[in-house]
Amino acid sequence: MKQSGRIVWLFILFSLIPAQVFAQAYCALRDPASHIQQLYPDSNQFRSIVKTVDESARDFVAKNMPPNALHFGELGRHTLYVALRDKDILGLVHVRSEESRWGLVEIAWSMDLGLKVQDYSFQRCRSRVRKVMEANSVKDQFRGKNFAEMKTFLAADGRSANRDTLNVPDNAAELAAVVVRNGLKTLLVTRQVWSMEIEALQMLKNARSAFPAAEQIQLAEQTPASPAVAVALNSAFGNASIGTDRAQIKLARVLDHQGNALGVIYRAKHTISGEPLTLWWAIRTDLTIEAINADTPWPSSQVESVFKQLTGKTFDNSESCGNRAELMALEAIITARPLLKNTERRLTM
Amino acid sequence: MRLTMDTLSAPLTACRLSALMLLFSYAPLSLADGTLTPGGSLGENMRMSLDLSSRITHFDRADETGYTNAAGLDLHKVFSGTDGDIGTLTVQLYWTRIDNLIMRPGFFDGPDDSELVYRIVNFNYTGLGTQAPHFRVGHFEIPYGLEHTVDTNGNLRDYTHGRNLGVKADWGVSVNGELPALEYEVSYTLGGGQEAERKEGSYVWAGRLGTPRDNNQVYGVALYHAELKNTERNRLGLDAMWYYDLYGLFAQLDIGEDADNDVLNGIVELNWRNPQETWLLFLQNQYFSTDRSDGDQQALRHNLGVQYTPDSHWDFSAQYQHDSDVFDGAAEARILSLQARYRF
Repeated sequence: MKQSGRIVWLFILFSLIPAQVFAQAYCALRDPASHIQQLYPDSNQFRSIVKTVDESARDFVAKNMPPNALHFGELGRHTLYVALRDKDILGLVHVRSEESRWGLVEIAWSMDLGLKVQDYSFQRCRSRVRKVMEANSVKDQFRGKNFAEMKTFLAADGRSANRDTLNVPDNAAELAAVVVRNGLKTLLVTRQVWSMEIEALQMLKNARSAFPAAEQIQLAEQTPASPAVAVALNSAFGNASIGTDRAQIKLARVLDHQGNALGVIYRAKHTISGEPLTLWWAIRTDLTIEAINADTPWPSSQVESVFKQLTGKTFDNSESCGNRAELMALEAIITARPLLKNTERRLTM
Repeated sequence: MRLTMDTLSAPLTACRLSALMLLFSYAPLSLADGTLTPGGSLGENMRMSLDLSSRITHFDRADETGYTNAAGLDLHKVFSGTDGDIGTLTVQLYWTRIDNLIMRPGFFDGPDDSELVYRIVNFNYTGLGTQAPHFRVGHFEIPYGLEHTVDTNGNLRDYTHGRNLGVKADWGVSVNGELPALEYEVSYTLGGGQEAERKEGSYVWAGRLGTPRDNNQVYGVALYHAELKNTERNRLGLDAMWYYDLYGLFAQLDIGEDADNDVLNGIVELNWRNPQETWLLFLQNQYFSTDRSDGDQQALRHNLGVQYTPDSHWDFSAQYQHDSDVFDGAAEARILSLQARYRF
């Protein structure tokens, strides 16, 4: 009985320690393997990325979609799944739960790396109108939507489905609201908690697309901010802006399976024809352009053609550049150059 | 550390697992730098909780009250490479103290005892891909019946693995998998329960094939063949779960034999949760029958329970167990149990 007393004191002591834990015993945790297969029929493997959904994520949700909040079961350690076909990254899957009058509804959402919805699958739903929300005519309304676009499905009260923008039968309106809230929360939480990992995955996907021998990438720190790069850019462009947001630039060195550098991936947010456009530049070790890909459709086929013509070219100075696309290429090369000289390993994926 | 069947003698295993857990507990738990390095920090992709529980059990007929206090570590770690997950380690190791517990699991030496209890300790290799079989080694629940789909570890709510099969969790290996239309697990274990060894030639074969457990209707069929305490046990088990709004109706039917005695067992459970799923109420009826040489025997047990989980730390539960019929020579039990559990 003495030991029992000690346990009770221990119990009281530890109960005062705040922490994010998962209420359910971990032996009950199961990966949504069958749902990943349904959402990505071509997948043959997935990769887990476990991180903590904490108060900052709760605040982020409360700020962006009031009056909704994360309930206690949504906090703690959660998993983002990367669906894979061998080495190809097919997309992301995240499961969120939502309170409803039928109990917790758990939905597995598939998203591309730009956090647009690709599909969803009910992992658990006790509602009898579940089949209605599983119909392609309903799912098609969600597919391809980002957070802002899907938020139009939410009515002004922040809880109900907006029947003007989301076409669902009357008897499914309540479950539709659950799906909309759950989807919006999924996009917000995924962006807030896993942004760095998604960025790295985007880098890896672009690296493998441009360099077939690519095995891994090394994410660079804020290389564009380094004094040497700043001096080189200033020397090339002076104070003139060519439409690249230098604060948003990300870089990664691309390596083959032996660790040899194949080139660099340079991601930059440009303004082209007055529209924002994120481009992924693949630059070979000899500083020639290997490929340029856009996150979203090109503003026009003409713009696309101008950029695609940069493939195989390199630029030393602004005098050798004949248009703004070539100036952007020069900026990319100047920024990427130190990474190809510097073999220091920083962040490997 | 290698976990092999040859090296899993209990005391040695306890030391090794403790060392493993210490190792994990000192590893960084978050990915603050966003590192996605294969084979990165040991804390990567890990969940860990300390789990304390205190249970009071009042045996009405004997007018005795027993106490169970447990403190343990619950750890879940996914090992990943760049191109996919490799496997999952689950460790649930609990120091458990009982005082005056007159009805207790067999691995306690008496009503007052302390033991290091392995609930779930295994590694499930998943590296062959999502549609390929996975391979589990370690201590895990026997894949059979409702118990295979409902987590009851450390809870008052329980099913009939112990009484029906003779063992709830065991050391061994299994092949398991999950496909869109079905899930399966087939295991071979040693029959030692808590101890990773065969006892008097014991062994257990078990396997369950079922529809996905998250569906609103779940069906499973299971086979069980074991040699435990020099008694051969065979079972064919059918289980089903039906969900309707906030209600669940579970059933399990077991047909088989213990030695040469025919056995027919069954469970029916009706449960209800509130919309927030902080409350769970359940009523179980368990039926046991066998045709022993001294005549047919029947037993009927009823469990009425409630579980309240107000947040991610606390879990309070209560259960009243009532035997309305027992086998000849056994005493009817009336047991009230209360439990508080805290995870942090």
